Amino acid sequence: MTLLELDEVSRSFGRVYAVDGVTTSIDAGEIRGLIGPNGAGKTTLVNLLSGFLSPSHGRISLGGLRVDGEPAHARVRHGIGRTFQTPQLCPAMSTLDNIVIGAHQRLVTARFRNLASGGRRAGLSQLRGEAAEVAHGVGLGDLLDVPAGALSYGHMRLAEIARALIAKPRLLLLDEPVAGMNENESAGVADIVRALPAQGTTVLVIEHDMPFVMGLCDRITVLDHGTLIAEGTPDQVQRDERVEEVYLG
Amino acid sequence: MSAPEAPFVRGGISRPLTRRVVRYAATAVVLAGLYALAPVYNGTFFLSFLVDVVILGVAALGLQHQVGDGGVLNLGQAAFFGLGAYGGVWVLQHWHWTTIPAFGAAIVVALGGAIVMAPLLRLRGVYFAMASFAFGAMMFEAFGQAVSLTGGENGLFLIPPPRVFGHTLLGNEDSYLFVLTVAALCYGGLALAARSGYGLSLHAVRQSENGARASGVNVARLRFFALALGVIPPALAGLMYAQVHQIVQATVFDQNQSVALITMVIVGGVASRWGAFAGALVAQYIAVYLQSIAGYRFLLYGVLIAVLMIVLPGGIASLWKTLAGVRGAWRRTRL
Repeated sequence: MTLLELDEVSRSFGRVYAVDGVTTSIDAGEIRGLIGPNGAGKTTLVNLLSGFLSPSHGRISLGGLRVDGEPAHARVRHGIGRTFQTPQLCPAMSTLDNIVIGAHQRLVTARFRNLASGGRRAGLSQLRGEAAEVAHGVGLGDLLDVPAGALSYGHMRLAEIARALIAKPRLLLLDEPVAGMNENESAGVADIVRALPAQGTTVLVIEHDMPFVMGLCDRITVLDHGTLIAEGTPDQVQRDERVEEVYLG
Repeated sequence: MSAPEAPFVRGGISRPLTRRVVRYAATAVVLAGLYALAPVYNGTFFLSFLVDVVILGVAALGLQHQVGDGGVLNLGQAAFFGLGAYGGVWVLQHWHWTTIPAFGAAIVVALGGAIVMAPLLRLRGVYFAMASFAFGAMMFEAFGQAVSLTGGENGLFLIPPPRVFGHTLLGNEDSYLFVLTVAALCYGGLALAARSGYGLSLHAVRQSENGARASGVNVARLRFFALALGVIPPALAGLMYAQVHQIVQATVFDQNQSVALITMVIVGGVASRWGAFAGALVAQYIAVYLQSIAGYRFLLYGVLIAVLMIVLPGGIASLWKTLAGVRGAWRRTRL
């Protein structure tokens, strides 16, 4: 079953097309890799999918519902979660509360429901419990009280993943989740990502670390200068002539 | 993903229980002390001075929520002080409402003003600050021109004193107890809001707007909530000011007042609720007790802000922490 569909999606900045007529689809339960040289338009594509940018042309639909006109916060409601290339955490807030923010949608409704029943703080403490569970799941269990600004770079990336996961997204967009990590750490991230389809989360991951991408992804999409130049299984993509050309010059 | 056994859950905003209890106890003691000032200084000029300090502190408290919690640098807060005053006085004089329902009217009028101001929230940082300053100037002009509603330049006279639960509050002891109670309620309400999920989301937006957006936070709506919640205390303060003084003139709600309010917030400490009152005390002391240099009041405010930015960036509220840090550093150098 197709979860995400992109139909001729383009985004221009002035006269430059950062993403140029990309058409592809991702099946539910898939782990899709998105690769390409620097400046290929990978992050722009993630920004288009998560609503941080809107496309100049084309349509994006999630589960048959068109979402390209929706603002970022509404896309989260539709089930699109993301992380950033440079972690965007709240530095002075505890790691735990950073993860709680990911459940913002439920935080709002929990507040009003509990207001009616008199137990105003239940919503927040309940979500903190849930956030602690998610944190344990990604290996941040010992760092709940640490301000996010004091975390190591790798832990920040994990906290971002946890923040996205607590909303139980249908589609998770990971922008270079293992950049700057050692082999052990990136293997840990691979394990976390591999477990996601079973929980109902489809993954699109940008990464430059080729062994990581090849070992993790079901299918891979290759971008260059904003256009889609190849798509297929890791084997197919590795053997593709155009991909070789782009990467080796 | 295995569930941890009874995780010790604690956030950056909620404090450990013992520290929280200590804080509540300290707050209660301070509040009791403030109430105890009323009989001691009954009838003195000093107590009338404190009444104004508390009223201005309430107005500054709303601004502290906007700036400190919401990151909305509103330089037109005096407009909401005025809207509350005129809205409340209207129902007092024309419909003979008592003070508490008139508070409701003041809030409604101020919220109306917040809705008018809302489109400015599309601007950020210094651009919003400039636009809000212009909004304040515009409202001041409107207050001066709408003679049938505000009395124009002459102002409104013969405003009835506060009347709550069948008691008319006359004299400065009554006034002080009244404004202090309203201040405590506003303080408690905003403290609760800051510690709720709403407060958590506000902090998230201030610290990482992109992260908050990616988490589903509707940043525009949240910033409006911060603005709207922050105009309620000044609306109440406006009506209290009008009823305590029994006269209200548009000059009280001019741009100078907006500047005075932001000065109070900065001097007291942007991140601190009680700092708003500390700032009001300093600003009002300069305005009242240093009459001889009253003409240079705003020059003094500017110097005060500049000096504080260097020696005490967290405002008066951070005095203890800074002193403790200085003492610690001094001890280390002696060792």
